[in-house]
Amino acid sequence: MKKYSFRIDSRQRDIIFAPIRSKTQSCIVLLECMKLILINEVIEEKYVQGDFDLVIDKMSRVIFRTEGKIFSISFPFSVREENDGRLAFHWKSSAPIGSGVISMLRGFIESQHCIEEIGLDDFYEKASEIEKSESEFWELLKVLIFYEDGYFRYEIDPTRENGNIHPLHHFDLFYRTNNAIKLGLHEELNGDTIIDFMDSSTNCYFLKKS
Amino acid sequence: MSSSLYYNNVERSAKTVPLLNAIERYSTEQNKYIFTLCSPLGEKEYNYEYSDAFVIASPGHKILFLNYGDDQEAFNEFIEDLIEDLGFISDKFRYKERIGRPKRWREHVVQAISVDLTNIDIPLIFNNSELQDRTHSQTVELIISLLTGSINDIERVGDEVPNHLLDRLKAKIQLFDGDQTRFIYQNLEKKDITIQGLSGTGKTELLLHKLKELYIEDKESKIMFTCHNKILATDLRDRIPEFFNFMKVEEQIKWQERLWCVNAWGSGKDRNSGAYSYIVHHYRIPFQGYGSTSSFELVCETALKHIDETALQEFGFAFDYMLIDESQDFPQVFLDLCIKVSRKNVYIAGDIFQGIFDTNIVSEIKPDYLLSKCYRTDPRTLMFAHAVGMGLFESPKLRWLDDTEWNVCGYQFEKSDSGPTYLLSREPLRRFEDLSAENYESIRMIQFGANQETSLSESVLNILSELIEENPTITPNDIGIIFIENNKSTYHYADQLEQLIPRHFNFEVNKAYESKTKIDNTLFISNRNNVKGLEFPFVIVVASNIQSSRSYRNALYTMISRSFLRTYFLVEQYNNLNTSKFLEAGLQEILENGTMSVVAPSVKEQEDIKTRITYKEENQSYYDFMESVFDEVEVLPIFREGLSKSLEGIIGTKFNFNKAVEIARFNYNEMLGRDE
Repeated sequence: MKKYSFRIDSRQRDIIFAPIRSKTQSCIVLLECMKLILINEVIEEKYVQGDFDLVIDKMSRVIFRTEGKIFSISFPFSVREENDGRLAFHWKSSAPIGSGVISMLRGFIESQHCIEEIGLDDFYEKASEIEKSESEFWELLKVLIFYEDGYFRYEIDPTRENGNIHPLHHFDLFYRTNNAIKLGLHEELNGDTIIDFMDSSTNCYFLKKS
Repeated sequence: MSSSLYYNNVERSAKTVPLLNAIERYSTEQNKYIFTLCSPLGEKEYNYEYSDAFVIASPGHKILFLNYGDDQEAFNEFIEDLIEDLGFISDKFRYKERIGRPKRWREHVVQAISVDLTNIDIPLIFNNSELQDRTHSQTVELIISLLTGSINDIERVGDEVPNHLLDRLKAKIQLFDGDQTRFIYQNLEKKDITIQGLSGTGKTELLLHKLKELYIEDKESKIMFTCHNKILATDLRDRIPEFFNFMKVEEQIKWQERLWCVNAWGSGKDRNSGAYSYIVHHYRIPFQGYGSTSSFELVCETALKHIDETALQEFGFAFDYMLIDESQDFPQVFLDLCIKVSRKNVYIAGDIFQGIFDTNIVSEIKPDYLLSKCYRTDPRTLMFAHAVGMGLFESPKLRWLDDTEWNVCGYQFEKSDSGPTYLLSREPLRRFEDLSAENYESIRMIQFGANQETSLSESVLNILSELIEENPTITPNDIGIIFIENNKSTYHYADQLEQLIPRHFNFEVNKAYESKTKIDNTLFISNRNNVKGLEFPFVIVVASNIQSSRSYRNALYTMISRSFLRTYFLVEQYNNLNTSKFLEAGLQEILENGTMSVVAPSVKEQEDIKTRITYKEENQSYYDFMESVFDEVEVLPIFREGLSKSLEGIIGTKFNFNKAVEIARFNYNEMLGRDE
């Protein structure tokens, strides 16, 4: 298991920690974090408002942290460390995924507000603006639409705490309201524990009814 | 050709012609805007009985009421009536809050004179009416704007002359020039009326004014306002109600009943979605949509064939008027179609020189109105933009214009006696007189990338710090950063700036190639696409590797000329050592003297330039395709030609981008390997 850590400033925190209610929003978070990793601009301590880990294993995940909140989505691309230490992303054996195509994907996804609700006409029109030569774009768009993002969130929520109905520490699995599953926790959790969830070589965690 | 400085609506008679001609000559000689008017323009209801008098209006001078008849009483009445009407118009557009009632301003800015037509001294009249006081001059400019219907937003103009240059320029009172005024108020005896000009000459604004005139004047008319681009059409549709509101148009906008503002094609499902879709529905012709087999040219051709005299008789005209913006985007047959289906006039506005390598700048069909003054950009910036675009400071030059073409593009020139040197210059513009007065550097060239301190991001951050310091009232909306190249490093740099700018300056950033739109209160970052129609007080243009290709030079020209205060031209140092040297020297002359001394290419060189342009025109798409492949791989210029040949050998002339990039990358690495 390999772990790469990155810092985020207040603007990036606002983008990444905006409430996720749809696949579109989860894709935006994924693309934003890919962009941040590619730029890898050092953020001075005074600007730091959170961080995230990219964990590469059999399955890869990104875990985002800011005060009182942790959430995670899976990471669909393979990651390679270049000679200069920079990370490069690949899908299958294609060339590295660059900032340009990330912007194209983001523009495409965001222009529809919600890719889930795009109409055929709009899709056709949007699609015809993208050049046929952009095969990489279509490949990656398919990945984004169809990959399982495996979203879950951990929160410490003192303002809405309500005994065992809405415990101070809790997990929310899935983001669509009609799918949501909540799990309370007796104690605070840190990011490393979440990484440990993924590690198939360590002991498992068990649920226990309170 | 009428001068753009002068406009007249006084009836030309045997009596008045010598006087009017003399005033026009004076206007040209003195480079002064002068209007001679018998009544306010744009306000049709004002007519005056006395006909031996008119108004002379010119910025910097009192409003002159000139009487050449004998009836002093009737002349006085003319003055009283017209001033009363001006008072009314001033009230209507809320100018009264700013300049007060006529009784407050007329004493300072109005002068009445009676003249003897056989003995009239125009320079003396102007000298005697010159204004010294800045506030009075402003009042006059506002009154001229009322007289000519060039209404300004009085809140933008403000109460006082602002301290900072940026605010002063934003608050500058905008007046139509002669050409613009003629387009709006003259009625030509022909059906299709064309207006052409450089970009930034105010064509869209003029179409809006024309639309307003037509909408009010012809109350039963059906009007279609169209352009090719959907985003532009949407933008126009949003602007119309704002504009009508602002111009105090009392008629309601009846969308899809009297007025349409949509792009040209539209969809088959909704007749109101496009000009073409409306036309085919109107004449019961099957709609043809976008597809691999149909071009817009072809579908218009089919439609035009269907609409014969019988169809016209059966279904009538589709519209009374059509207004077409960005006509250079259309095939001629679409314009023909519009002319066919309109009862009255079709107004066609288009760019000349949109492409710097356009070979038909002076088109065979002369436009009815030609706008040569670009009000968007300081003339010095525009000159530099042209020079960079045409490679005027380089050897060999990439483009040369003949004498007529220089004129059409708004240049004056002197040829040296001794040799073929042209001393090119542009007339200074009112809008920018503050800039020249303060010796403001409206263009600055900066080299980046020599070391960490001069990295692109550091350079941009330094520029932003400087701008914020110089212009305390600056907002993110005032700045645009435009990358000329479309390659990996461009997107990388843009992403980097997107992170750094909000962190350092608290300015939100909008990358337009993602959002495809301009977002209020954000700093605009884009590649060379998605910039159409936009202008900013400050533009930062980034060029990593200056190329000679047409598309590249075109982009440089259009992007550099998008600022109205200052353009920062950022050039990567290592890649452009030679070119930069020449550009800097040329820029120096422009900034110091407002001129460019350029040696005209020899006849042989001119031939070469022409051949190159036509050759490239034929091979345009393949050439541009290769350039984009090389941009992607970031191939240095000296290797491009060789690499292009070897690539052509391998992939032929097929346009498979990814494949070409792959092969180019491999070959390029090989080339570099051999060279090392």
